[in-house]
Amino acid sequence: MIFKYNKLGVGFYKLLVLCCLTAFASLTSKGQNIGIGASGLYNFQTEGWGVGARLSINPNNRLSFVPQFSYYLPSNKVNEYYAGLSIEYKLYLAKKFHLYALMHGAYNSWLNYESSPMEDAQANNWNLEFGGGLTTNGCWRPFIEYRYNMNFKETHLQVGIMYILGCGSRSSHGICPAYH
Amino acid sequence: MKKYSALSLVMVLFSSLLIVACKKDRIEEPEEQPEAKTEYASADEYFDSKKTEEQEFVIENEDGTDPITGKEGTKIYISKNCLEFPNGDTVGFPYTVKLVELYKPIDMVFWEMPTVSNSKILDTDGEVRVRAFKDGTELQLNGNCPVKVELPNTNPDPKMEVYLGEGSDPVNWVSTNTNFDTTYFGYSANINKLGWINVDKLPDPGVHTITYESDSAILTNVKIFIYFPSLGGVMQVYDQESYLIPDAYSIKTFCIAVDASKNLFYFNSDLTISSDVTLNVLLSPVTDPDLTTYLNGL
Repeated sequence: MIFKYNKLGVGFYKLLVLCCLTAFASLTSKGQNIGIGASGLYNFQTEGWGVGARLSINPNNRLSFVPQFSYYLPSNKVNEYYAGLSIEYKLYLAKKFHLYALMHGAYNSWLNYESSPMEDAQANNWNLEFGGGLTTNGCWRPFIEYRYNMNFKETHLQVGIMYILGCGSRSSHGICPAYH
Repeated sequence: MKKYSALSLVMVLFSSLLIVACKKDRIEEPEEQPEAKTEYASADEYFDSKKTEEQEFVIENEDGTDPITGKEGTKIYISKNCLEFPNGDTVGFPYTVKLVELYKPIDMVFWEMPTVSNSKILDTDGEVRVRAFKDGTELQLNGNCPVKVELPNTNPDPKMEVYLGEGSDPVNWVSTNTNFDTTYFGYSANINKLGWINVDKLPDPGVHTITYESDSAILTNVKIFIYFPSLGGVMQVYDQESYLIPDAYSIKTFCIAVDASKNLFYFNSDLTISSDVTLNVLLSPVTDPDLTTYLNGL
């Protein structure tokens, strides 16, 4: 699919801003409804390393919304960033960890597409990813995710940590109420 | 139970992701697909159309002493008294003598009659085939008398031996360990078996081979030959690898192919062999007159 940068780019940023506002609104009104995290990424096909940042809205619910940003460094063969939104569905809830499936839609800006041997390489792309992840249930939640990018037919591994805002306060006793 | 279902779902999901082919299109040059090689049709029909004619002589009496003389000058002295049917019956008049004369490389090529004996190239001064028929039945010599053949040559070599052809596709030349007599006419010998006769001697032993490959053609139906100008001999190449070739011999090798539309293609290379060689065959279109001119010029 080919999307015009101006239309979709602006549309996406609006969405991102909306998500952020929603997140902060939730943050100010309720504890533990927002998580913030950072991650490292490795794309197995482009052999590229990247860094990521994310918010998790309602991280303790079965369904979470996770706006996120990823950036593959200029030292890689592919230098690009992704800005998108994941929907995470918790499939298996254990006492100390949970397993989730995710779907992620993202705008992709491929910064050095001109140096790629790919025939139809272009700067602006729209990506859909499917994957799964594993994380813990504490205030600090290390996570690992593995995803498949339908557009580029690539997989990547993401390892990071998320902090649940408001977690550990007197009302929560350090354990997320969703898993009491 | 529900937990295990969820886990199974995750396993299936991940397995699916791993099964889906991933691509490195963004960082790797796409593998260049080799161009499909051209497959040629059989060239047998073309070769048959180019064969020098088999001459027929109907013998109605043997009153005189004149031999049968072919177009190229081959002389055959034959008598019905020397012939018999395969079952031993005697032969009456008229009977037919058939003669093929292959003195030029072009004729040896189109008849696919290489001058090779037990995988060794021969030094040759010509090949002939003499056969006799009565009412469509091929006759044989009865052992009472031989057939005398004379092959023309302006500079006959006394070391040349009588070789007889055995088998078919290809004929293998087998020495009779008998030398031809050299005369003012050329070569003369008495032959005890009708069929293919060759004037040959063995040159230096072969040591090198030529392997034929092609990036653009499937060589299965391509006819490949090697001509040895200093020997007058022709080697046909089967399965893309030559028999052993003597060291430091100059050769002319050529390939002939016909496509499904009966268009002609050829490749040729002149080289001196001093080691094993691999040739990349690149066939080019050629007209029948041009190919004939080339082969006549060998």
